[in-house]
Amino acid sequence: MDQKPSTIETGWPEEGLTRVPYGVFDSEEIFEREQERLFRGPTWNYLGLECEIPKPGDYKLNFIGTTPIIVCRNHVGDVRAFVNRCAHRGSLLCFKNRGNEKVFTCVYHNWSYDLDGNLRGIAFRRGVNGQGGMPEDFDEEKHGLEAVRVTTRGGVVFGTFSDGTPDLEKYLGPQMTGFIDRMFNRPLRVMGHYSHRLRNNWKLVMENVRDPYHASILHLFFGSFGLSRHTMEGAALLDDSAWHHIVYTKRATDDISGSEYEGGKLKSMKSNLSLADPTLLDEWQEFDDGITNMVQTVFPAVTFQQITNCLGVRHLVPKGPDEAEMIWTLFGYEDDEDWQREIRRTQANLVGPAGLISLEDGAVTNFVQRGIRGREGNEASVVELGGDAIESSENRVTEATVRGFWKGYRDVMGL
Amino acid sequence: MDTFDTRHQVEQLQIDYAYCIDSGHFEDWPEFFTDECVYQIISRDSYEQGHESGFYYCRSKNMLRDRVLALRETTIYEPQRYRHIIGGTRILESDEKRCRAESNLIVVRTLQAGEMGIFAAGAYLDTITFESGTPKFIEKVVVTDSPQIDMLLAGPL
Ligand code: FES
Ligand SMILES: [Fe+2]
Repeated sequence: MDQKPSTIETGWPEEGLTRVPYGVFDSEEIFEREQERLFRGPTWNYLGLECEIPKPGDYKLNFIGTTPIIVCRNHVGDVRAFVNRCAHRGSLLCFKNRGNEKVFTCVYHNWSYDLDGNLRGIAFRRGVNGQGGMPEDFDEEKHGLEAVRVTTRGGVVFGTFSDGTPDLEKYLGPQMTGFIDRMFNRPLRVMGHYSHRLRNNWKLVMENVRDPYHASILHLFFGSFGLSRHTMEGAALLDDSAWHHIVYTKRATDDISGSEYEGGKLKSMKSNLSLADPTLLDEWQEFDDGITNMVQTVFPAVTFQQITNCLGVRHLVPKGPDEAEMIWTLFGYEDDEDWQREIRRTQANLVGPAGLISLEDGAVTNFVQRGIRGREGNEASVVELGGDAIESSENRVTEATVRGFWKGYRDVMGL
Repeated sequence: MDTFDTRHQVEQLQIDYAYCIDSGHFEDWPEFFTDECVYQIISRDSYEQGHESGFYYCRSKNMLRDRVLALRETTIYEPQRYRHIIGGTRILESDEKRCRAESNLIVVRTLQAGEMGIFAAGAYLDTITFESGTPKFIEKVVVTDSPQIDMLLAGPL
């Protein structure tokens, strides 16, 4: 990769949040600083769903940034998380994606840890026949697993490395917390789980997810079948810190006459199309508020979505300056009836790497990564839709939600 | 029908199916299925856990047609090609009317700039009917060994 002067050296453009220097998308140096300041900093990071680890000893693996994490349930039923790194010489402690263990035993030299991360056993601690072994004064208490502070809300598990991260409710603010409670309001049941490898910097994905501008333009299916248009009722919301966002729409509230959607002015509107099997879009009103599409991000890297009845979590894991992985978990509720499950399952066609309204995202974020190569100096993108406002609005023809991401980013990264 | 004949018919069906997709004749793809059918692409891990949702889920021939409509009219992606290699077919059950078969599958994807790589490896879990004279899929579950898709999965497997 061509190394350009990084934004750490050149500084953020003086226009502020309406410009994003391309240097943040392909620099090793920035990537390393993100691990330290953002992912190990004062942020809550998505770790999983409680329903994935229902019983004591259940665990699943995940990541905070690039750091491998074990999320488990201890003997008394509390959720715990640790760095998945043996305190002896650094081997991965667990290497299966999920399972159940009474103790975690490292395969390398059999050091073992309880479900609270305490070191409980060292093979040949006392040596053999009085020879070898660990020093008498070796303090096992100082050599447990590195703990991650954990919090849960509505069965969603978040973790942070920093003692300075405020409580989740304070971190999110009341409105964002309210939307979490709205969707995670009763026991969940996982319906699907897959991964999407993206050939681009992780932040291009977060911009994309927080960008209501493109949704009905790039995703022709969206506009053509009336799933979401700017003419529908909706809102683009930011919390007070602007770190987190929500964009929602209420379907069936618009009249497209006189708008750019009418008469095919936008390439995105192919109103002559019709589905041979319209049951693809069967739905029921899931929430009383009438919201049919809702995308919520919790800074820095997780998205909760409601696409009519297709509910899911997209957890973004950075893999390098130009590579990321989006881990999807689709879910319904334990009390879903069969017909509801079938509708959710059918609507899953809309999302993911093969999604009828999302497939293009994996292409365009990669187009940006390729487009910014070979640039001169400190070029930057233009994020000026809606001016330089960083606030909530009913209008979704705005990039305020994208600017909010960069505000959070700059706050934490010191850029 | 003897097993040799069943095997021959199943293998011929797979060959024609692969040719249809690899040559980009997506409009013909639904014709390999009965009107009432199930076509799904799901990862091995999800399949084994009994998950409902994967990458593709169509439960009628018309839904397959809608996927083709979307591919042609609304889906945007860089030109690319698939090349299917199907083999190792095992006939699990068969009578005159239908059979269940499993086959191995590898799909190489070639992007326009020339980059190529194994895009998917896995198995077809097929239920095939012979009732209309031409063999057709009643159910085709594509189980991918990897839970991961590189960039995007546009055309069917
Ligand atoms: S590295 Fe884990 S026991 Fe040695
Ligand atoms: Fe999108």
